[in-house]
Amino acid sequence: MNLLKNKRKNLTKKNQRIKIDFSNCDRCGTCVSVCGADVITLAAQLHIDNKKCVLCQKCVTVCPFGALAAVEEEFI
Amino acid sequence: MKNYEIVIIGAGPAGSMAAQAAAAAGKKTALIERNEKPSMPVRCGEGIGRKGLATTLEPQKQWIKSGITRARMISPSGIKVEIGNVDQSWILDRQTMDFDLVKQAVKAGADFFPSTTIVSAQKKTNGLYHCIGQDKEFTANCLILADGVESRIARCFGWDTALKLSDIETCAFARVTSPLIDQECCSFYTGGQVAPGGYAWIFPRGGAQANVGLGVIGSKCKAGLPKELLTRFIELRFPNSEVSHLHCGGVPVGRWIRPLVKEGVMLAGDAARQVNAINGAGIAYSLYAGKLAGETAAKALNKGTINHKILLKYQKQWAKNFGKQQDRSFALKEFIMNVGDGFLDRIANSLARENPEKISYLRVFTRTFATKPTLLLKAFKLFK
Ligand SMILES: Cc1cc2nc3c(=O)[nH]c(=O)nc-3n(C[C@H](O)[C@H](O)[C@H](O)COP(=O)(O)OP(=O)(O)OC[C@H]3O[C@@H](n4cnc5c(N)ncnc54)[C@H](O)[C@@H]3O)c2cc1C
Ligand code: SF4
Ligand code: SF4
Repeated sequence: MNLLKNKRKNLTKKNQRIKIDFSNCDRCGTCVSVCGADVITLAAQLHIDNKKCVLCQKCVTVCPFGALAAVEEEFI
Repeated sequence: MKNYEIVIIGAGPAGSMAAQAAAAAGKKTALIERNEKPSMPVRCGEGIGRKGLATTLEPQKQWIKSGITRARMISPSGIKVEIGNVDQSWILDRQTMDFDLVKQAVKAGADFFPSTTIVSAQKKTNGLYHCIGQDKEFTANCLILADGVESRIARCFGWDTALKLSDIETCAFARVTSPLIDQECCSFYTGGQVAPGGYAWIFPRGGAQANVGLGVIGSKCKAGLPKELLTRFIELRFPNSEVSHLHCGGVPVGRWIRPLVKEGVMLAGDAARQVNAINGAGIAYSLYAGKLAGETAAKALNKGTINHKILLKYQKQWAKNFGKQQDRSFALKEFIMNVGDGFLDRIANSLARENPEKISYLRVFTRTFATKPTLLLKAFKLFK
């Protein structure tokens, strides 16, 4: 049971990504300022390079409007 | 490819002042800004002391929305300290000021590139700096990075600018119109219920309106908390008011970055974390640092070669005039982050019994020091 749980956990982490709720993002750059992996960029829109993201979730924590969340990647 | 002697990234107060100074000294200068115009939207409480502004600029009437004569600090348990003896302070119209500063830079001869985002930058083997934008490229002998709180471009040159959670205030703010606003007084609210590890501000800007906002320290923040707290704060203090210009932003409250100069690259303003860590004020510092960086770059650059000794004077002069003072504010911030609401209440309680006319910001600080002498020692060490 425990083993199963652990497996599930790893799987979850692996398939997580940071999702941007564009209707809530104010383009303030606060998330960019804390991202140690330097994978968030702000131009006309906010962009996260999820391939290089280490899922530390600092960006999620600091977003004043709560526009970021770690979500499960959807499989087709 | 566009070739310049000095390229400045970011047209906030720091970048515009740098561009104006560099262009006025006869250097071929470019000022690059991501947005169509700077300060769109304004992300600022817009409060500034007259002295701070006048250090660098001749204050213009059209930049000033209102004058402040008093301040009020409200402790976590609601004890009010009236400060009757404030230095002359203003609430600015940052949109007008920031536009004017870009115009002045252009008038001095700088080329302005709006709606242009720099994605990365690097030094080429020919010694020139290459800035890559989404649809434009620039070369420069000298780069001034004034890209605000994000400070991303500095990472291309090996600076680690990613902020610790304890070094960022995450803020939400709005413009509130209500007859309940005291138009002569700035108010500051502290306490874990109002703004954990930060404070809420009410800065009146005339016409029954005020900038109302709050900051939460990153280490005590959670997704969306600043917005939630602000909504509650406004509903509680200004029920049925008109709320507009609801935006968010981050204020760096770490130590200013050392070194400020690497080869031909300089950092200025929020990008260099040149902010007072105690109150989050950064306008006066970014104006000063931007101008100083621009002037110094122009002096150091001669026919395409940089005199590094001259360029390094930027950091020395910054440290002497404001840097040491900011180090003390940082030490004080670190201390305050670790005291509970009870400590702030104790100070407020002892000050609340005094005559407001005799209370100044300085007094608040000296009282803080008196309550906790070890702190004074810490601050003194930084004088060296
Ligand atoms: C909520 C809030 C309230 C504040 N209240 C006060 C206050 O009351 N008093 C005070 O003194 N200070 C206050 N500050 C701080 C003050 O606003 C800043 O210190 C000041 O704006 C810093 O100026 P700057 O020029 O360094 O950066 P900014 O004004 O942030 O300008 C940086 C510019 O660079 C541009 N940029 C960024 N990246 C790129 C890129 N890659 N390419 C091109 N352009 C780019 C941005 O679009 C921006 O226009 C507040 C800050 C916040 C967030
Ligand atoms: S911190 Fe939030 S609102 Fe600001 S740019 Fe990032 S996602 Fe958008
Ligand atoms: S989770 Fe961490 S690494 Fe990924 S984008 Fe957010 S701050 Fe950057």
